[in-house]
Amino acid sequence: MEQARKKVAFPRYAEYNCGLRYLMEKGLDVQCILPPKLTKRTMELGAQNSPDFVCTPFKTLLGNQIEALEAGADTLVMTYGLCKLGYFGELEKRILRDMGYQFDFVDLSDYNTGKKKDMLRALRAINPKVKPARFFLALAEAVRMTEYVDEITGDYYRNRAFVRDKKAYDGIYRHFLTAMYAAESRHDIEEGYHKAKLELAGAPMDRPENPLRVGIVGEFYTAMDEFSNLEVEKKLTDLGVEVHRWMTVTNRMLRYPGDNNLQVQIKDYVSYSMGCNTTANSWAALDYVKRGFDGVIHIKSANCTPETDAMTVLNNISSDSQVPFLYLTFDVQTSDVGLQTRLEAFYDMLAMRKKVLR
Amino acid sequence: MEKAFLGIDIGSISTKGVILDENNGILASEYIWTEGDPIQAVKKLLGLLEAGFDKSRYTIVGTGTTGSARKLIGTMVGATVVKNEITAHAVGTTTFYPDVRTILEIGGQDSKIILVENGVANDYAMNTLCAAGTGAFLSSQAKRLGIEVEEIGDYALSAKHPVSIAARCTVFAESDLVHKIQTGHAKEDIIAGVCNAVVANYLNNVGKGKRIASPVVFQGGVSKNKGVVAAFEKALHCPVTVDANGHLMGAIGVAILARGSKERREFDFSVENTDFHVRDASCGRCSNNCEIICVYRGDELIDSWGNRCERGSIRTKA
Amino acid sequence: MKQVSTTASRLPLIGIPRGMPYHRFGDLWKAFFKALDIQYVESEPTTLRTLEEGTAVALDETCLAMKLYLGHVMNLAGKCEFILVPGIKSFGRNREYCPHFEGLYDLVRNSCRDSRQKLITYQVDEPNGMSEADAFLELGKALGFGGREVKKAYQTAKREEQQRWQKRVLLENAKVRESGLKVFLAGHSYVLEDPYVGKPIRNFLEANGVTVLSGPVTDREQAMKNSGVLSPGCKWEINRELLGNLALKKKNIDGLILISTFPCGSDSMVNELLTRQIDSMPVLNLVLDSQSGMAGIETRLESFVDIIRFKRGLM
Repeated sequence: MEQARKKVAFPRYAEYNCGLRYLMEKGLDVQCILPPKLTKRTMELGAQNSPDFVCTPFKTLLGNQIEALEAGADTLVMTYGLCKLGYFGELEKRILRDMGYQFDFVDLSDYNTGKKKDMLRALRAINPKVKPARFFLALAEAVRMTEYVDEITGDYYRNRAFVRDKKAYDGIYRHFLTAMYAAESRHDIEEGYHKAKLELAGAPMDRPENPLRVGIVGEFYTAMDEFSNLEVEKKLTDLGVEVHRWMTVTNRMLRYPGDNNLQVQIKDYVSYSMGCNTTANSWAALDYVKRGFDGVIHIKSANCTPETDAMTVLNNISSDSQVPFLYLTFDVQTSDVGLQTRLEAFYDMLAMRKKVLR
Repeated sequence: MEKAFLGIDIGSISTKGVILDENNGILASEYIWTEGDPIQAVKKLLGLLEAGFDKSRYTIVGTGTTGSARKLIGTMVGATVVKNEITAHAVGTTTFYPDVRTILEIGGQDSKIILVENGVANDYAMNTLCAAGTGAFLSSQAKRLGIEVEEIGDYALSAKHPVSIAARCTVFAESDLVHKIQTGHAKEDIIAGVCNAVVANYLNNVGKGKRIASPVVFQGGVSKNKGVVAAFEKALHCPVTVDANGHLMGAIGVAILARGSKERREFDFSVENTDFHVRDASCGRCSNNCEIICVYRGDELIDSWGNRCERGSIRTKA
Repeated sequence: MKQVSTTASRLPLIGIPRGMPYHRFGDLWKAFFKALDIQYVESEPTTLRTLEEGTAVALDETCLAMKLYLGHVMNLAGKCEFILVPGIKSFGRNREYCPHFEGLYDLVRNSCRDSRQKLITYQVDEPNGMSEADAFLELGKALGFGGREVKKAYQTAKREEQQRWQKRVLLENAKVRESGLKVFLAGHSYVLEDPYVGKPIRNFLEANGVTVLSGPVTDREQAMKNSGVLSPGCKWEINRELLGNLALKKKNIDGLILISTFPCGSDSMVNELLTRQIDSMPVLNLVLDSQSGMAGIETRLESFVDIIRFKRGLM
């Protein structure tokens, strides 16, 4: 007899769960349980059960895994990573077990050797009957979807400040995401993307000749996840800023040229690979500066070691270039009001500088 | 009738108000405690301002609000400008000190630094982690030592051998302080140590990597503390100016911004006697449970905010 | 091969900061420089001044250990031609080091750039083809020595380092057989062995009649083999050695003290897992920041020792 399909969940990771869902269902033939969207409750659940001074994403992901188990998942999958992330899985598993939950746990860090053989082992841990050919086809499509999500998200925040009807514009973006989360085929993905691309481009806009441009760099989770960063990008576009964010899965994982290739461009600041995303963020920040951006915002969670290191470099880039950098640290209790004040002040300052400099 | 401009700065601890004439002359100013109730505080503030202000000669044609309750009070008084306190401080200070290069500010909960070049704010930073080194920290330490906040300055200036105190985090600083008290250090040396710690913490946190150029102006509640001023001068090797009206700079700045804005609306002191209240509504349509703040004039809902998504937005009738 | 003259007079004076990697690799560096006849100078032992000088240039949010390290660098700035600042990324799979160790060279370069002090480095990253031996070879060549000479010096230094270490481990392991209260200190060597941060804790415990077992001092190979008992997926070498050493000695100890510096990333997680794994003995979790007083800590250490004595019926 055939066994019931596994109910697999991966915690919320910005808007990338649509691609992960597609991969799980189409490539691994398991049922994907999409955990509820991140809310205050997620943070509370996570913070209650996490060690005190671990970084915030650990708390958020743990909270969301609890919610995934509540929603009926029987298998949790956790990624590996360059930083502490590479150890998240083992501690999460232990904490969730201590809380009394029963589940299978597939920690990709256990298979992270770079060998094809171990990758197959990881896939078999999720579904023993995996068909590699089918998996790789679905992977290619999921990768395509991820690139589309990043591209459309980039378009959206670059222009949102200037559209006449923000509500309609937000609607286009939301519909696009819904289409990606519901996609069943390559055709669905392409159709959703092209529709959104056209509609976003067609939205009536009053773009000033020289709008304020701000570049966002920062941590691989908090800079990308709008719940965790209290919608920084949306808030900035509400103020009238053209927002660019280099840090995406597409740029960092799918099309990354490698630390060494970026380092040659920032050798005034960095000589060797500094680990995690420090090189990438330093390069991106300097790139924004060279391209004449008005300001740079660095986003990280509390207790993120590598991004703290990156700030050391960014401080020097800012002081040499005289371009203002704003550093934002998010934890479980970051206040929305405080963030709004900082962003408004940053905006005012950039606007006044721009007037004087011209 | 001559034109005048009202600026109100409502912070978590204190509420400040000024009325300026067209040449930045101060016609009236008041400073009171917020006591956790910004609406009552502003009503009281307006009453005090009205009493000291020549209504037969001036009309208030523009009103600005700033500080943490700027939005609420802006709705209440019908402000023509609502601005964050960082910008307001920068504008106020550069108006009175056109040459200023660095503005240091330590308030009750927040501390910030603003760097100015050519009269325009060029860079700024705000405290990120916790309240160590702010006014709240100073007053709790004064309480622990059994002295009034106002006495800190004199004690600190009489110290001969200031002790060293870790100031990065309130928790760590307190345990350190208790230890210093137990080991019998003189009170003034401990207080001077606390003042030095506030400055060290400030320079290591918000001041990190910032080129602090002279002239330096120091503002916020803590600037009234001579001990901290002396500690800053020692650490920065330059004189530090404290304006007698430094505590009003946010209110002054936002009044100046109101003057600069095109919008004009005559201000009516009768809001003192109008009933305003705020109700917290919990959205409850998802587990974010956003707290929506609804402002009422009498029974009429005049504004609301606080929802993270559209589901919970409450529309005013207007 | 190019012949290089190596008269002591024209060789640069190297500065060695006594922080972070020093407590693990310092013996190797010193032996290596000695073998090549290179003069070196060490920074002064940690004091409050070191912390203050480090804090002045460090990012506020960074950990206490990093601030101390930068303080040691500043202590040497201007007193030598080069300061040795290595980059230690990884010795292999699950033998990684924290981002501060990885990026140390550029962190120092960016934090201390106003001092205009010149630095010299070697970078270990085994998974990407740079072993410690290769890295030292590059270091030696950068100092003007020939390849054969450097290789020999490295081998000599490595041998000397290992001999010293074995002696220490032998003495340390003998403590397990001592009678009386035995407490295991789990913390990074750069915390435990620092005269300003960790040493006072150890001294206090010893003065109270406790035998202190030092977590980092262990037969590293054997410890690495046993780290999986407590945490199979740990990726950091230093934490794995502690875990393995603890797994080997846990039957012989009465209590466990976890010492970390705020906000250490690896410790924040590994120590949580450890507290959940170890339920057979009292555990004290000490998180240190830049406090200059021992009073709060002494109270906690004292009551912890009392608890153990109560448990064993010694009080």
